[in-house]
Amino acid sequence: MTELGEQRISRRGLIVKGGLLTAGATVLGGPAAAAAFGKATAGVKVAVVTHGDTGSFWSVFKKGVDQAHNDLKARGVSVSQVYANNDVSKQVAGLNAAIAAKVNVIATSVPDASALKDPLTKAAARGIEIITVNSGLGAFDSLKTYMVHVGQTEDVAGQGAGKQFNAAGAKNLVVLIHEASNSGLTQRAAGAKKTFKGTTKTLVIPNATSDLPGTQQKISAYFKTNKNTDAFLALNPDVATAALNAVPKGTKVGTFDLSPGVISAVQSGKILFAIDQQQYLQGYLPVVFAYLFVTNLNTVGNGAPVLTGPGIVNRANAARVAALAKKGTR
Amino acid sequence: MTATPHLLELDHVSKYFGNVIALKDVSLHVNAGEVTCLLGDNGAGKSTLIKILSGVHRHDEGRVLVDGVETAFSSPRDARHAGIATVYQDLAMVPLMSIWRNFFLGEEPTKGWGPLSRFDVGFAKRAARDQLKEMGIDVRDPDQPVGTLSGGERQAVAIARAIYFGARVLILDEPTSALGVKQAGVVLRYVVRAAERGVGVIFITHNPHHAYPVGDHFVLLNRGRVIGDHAKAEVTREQLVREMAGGAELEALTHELEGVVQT
Amino acid sequence: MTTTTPSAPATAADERLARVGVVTQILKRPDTGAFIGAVAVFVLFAITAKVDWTGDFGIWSSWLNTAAYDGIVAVPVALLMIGGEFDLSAGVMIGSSGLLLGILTTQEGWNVWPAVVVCLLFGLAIGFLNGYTVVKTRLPSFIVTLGTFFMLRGINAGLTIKITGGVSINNIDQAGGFDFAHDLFASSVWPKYGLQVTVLWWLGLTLIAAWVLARTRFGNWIFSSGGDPVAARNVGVPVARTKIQLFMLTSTVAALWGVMTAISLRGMQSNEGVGREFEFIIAAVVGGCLLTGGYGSVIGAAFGAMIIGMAQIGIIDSGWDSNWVYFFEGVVLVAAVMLNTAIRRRAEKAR
Repeated sequence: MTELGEQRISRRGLIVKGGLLTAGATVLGGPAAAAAFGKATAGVKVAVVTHGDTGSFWSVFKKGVDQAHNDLKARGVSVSQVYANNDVSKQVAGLNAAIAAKVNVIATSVPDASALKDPLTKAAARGIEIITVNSGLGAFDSLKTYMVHVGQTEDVAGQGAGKQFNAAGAKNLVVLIHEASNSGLTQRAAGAKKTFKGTTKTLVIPNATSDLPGTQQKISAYFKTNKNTDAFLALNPDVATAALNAVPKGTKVGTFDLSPGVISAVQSGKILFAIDQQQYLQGYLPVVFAYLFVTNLNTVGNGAPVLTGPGIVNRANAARVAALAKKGTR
Repeated sequence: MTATPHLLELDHVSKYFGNVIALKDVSLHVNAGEVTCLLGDNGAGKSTLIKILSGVHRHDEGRVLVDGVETAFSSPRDARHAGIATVYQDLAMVPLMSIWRNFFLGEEPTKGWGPLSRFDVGFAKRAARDQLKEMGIDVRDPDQPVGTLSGGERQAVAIARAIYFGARVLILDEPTSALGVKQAGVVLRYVVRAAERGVGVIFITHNPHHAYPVGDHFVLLNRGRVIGDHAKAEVTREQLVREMAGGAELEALTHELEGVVQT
Repeated sequence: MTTTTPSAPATAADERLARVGVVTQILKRPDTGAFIGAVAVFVLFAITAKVDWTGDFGIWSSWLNTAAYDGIVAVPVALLMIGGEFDLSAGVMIGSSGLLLGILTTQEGWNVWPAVVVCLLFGLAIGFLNGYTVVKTRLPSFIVTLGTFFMLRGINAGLTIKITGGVSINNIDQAGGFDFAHDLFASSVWPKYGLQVTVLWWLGLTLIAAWVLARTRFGNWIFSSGGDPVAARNVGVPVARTKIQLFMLTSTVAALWGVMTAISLRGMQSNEGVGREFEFIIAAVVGGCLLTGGYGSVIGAAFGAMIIGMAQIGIIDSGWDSNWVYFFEGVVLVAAVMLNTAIRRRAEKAR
């Protein structure tokens, strides 16, 4: 009895010490830890608030969140989700609702850092942990309760795209920005411009995804007016597949994000490459991180983001990714 | 009863709405080529009466006779087919549409059949122009929207339309009430014109001064009951005015006012 | 206008009588303003565009194709507006119909043609729902169809996810009957310049609707249902039935356009069409249709759609920032309405 008892005591001691060490080591997440520790015995409430719409990209993200919720439900995790459809004020309202509901952790995307500053500062003041997903790297590091960024840095991803076009020998690139007020998209375009050795121009078509045939006409019109453009970068999979019919033959096409249409186009060579930011992970991981922090004070990243991309999907690996995409998880 | 039956007759008609007595024991008639004036102040029951005559409501007691035959209209369309046309005070025309479109609204003449049946526009424009001429109006441009016509002219179009589509009885609901003196006079001329063309006109108004010049027969309504029924020969305008206003009450009021002025 | 006694000579008597000039007659038409506007916008872009706006028929095709995408659904929307009602669900209906076609052909393996029929029936059903609700409840159609808009939007995303696991449908071209459908709905009639068959659909639909409006009984009923439904009902016009039929026409044409879009894109994603309902309304209003109903023109709406198409392509061809498209559309809308009103007032005074 005494042997086991001693063992048990020392194991418990280890855990407590380990917890304190971790708490000590992660100064960044520090002050809220004490409060969170107190909440460990109640359920874990997570609010996922994004600017997402109902397109193919965000539906994979949502699948990730839903799966995490299912996997951790038995452990007392509850998840609420808000998709603001690119309407920033709706997103702010969602954040405020989460604060009022006294959730433990907010996981939010950041299409517009200044607009979300007030609600996130308020959340931090109330001791709610904050995880940024998909966009917003570096925007809210200074908040007391900021945990980590889960996503793909738009800039690095854009650079990856630029490099791919270099390898393909393109000289004149046009980047199609399909949402007028999304800083992430502008960052991607800027990233591509940095590494691309030729000239880079941007074409803005607001709300391109709600009138794809019209978008096709506009892309054609652009190519007619800028005849020596030979490369096209889409920032959205639905725009990419639509563009295939609008760009002149021989144009090198690359895109961000996957969809079944994009994957089959990559397999057949019509699209050169797709930059995959694995949004399934962006939905799944934050819920897990939230659970681990609230119940076990585990932190992640140590100040660096958890990068979910850029994954490059090209002709070489497209077939395997296709099988997974059929399940809606890639 | 004379040998020829009246064109349209109400015989001791009553109408109730719940326990409100809208009309009680009302009898009136109109003959072809004559003008029967229905006089009554607001709230006397005139609009209920019109609705029964035009088929919107069913009467609860009494009989409605067309050409001496007892009938009951099941809908306004029914009444129209019996030759009874109603021209409402402000609901006669669609202002934005042209005269010829308004003229043939609901009864558009067509050429051809099936899905290719066309609105015979040429015929419509000519007919509208001709019919208005019959009323004494020269339309320069049948395409002009009816809203650009004066109130009196609009009434004329409505009356001409009703007659064209075979109205034998024309019920005019307060045609002069919203018009100035000159326009009212113009409309009264149309009323006479209509009667001259053989139509039986029921002219509804609360203004005895308008009614008297054109009426052949006067029926006074008050609180759902007939309080007076005279042929033109039997009554003077002043008598009508007094009877309408509830003569005794008006005299008492006049005395009181005079009393106030004197002191 | 004058009243004369029967004995006076019919003409020449009144010095105010004047022959109604041809020019005045043209100016009085509701679509004149839109035509002038379209010419003005064309001239503007002919000057500022960096490509040959006037001579290159490929450029004409560009904006004609774009115009057709709004123009097709703008036709019944204009008719409905003349009839006194709005349909805010016309845009999202495009997505619903396209997604339905996609689900039937890719998930259920149907041949394209029976699926097209089902989509059109779906349009008829939703249109009937809209119309019947408006007529029975007497709520403003703006509100009723706004409700339909949100419902369809939710269904587009939610039901599709449930059935397919994703929110976009792809590979419709694998279905039987696709090739003929593609020829009919999405092919190029003039491959050299890229003029699409959608332009023919648009112009054909416009001409048929214009004929119905001007030369049939139903057209007269449409005008009166919007102009003064009470007066119309009193003279026997079946106002309720007319309005319901107009709603059904709008939703069905939107469904047809959804089918055409899905065939053209070989797939559909659930965001398609959302927000377009206002462009249809702009085209109709620019075309001379009064928001309050009772007056307007489908030919004018076609010019309105042309203006929108020219603006969207012209701005890219001139190298301007595309965000200005919205600003431009707003300016055009206000200018067109002011122009239409001014012309009409002038024409009416001219006698």
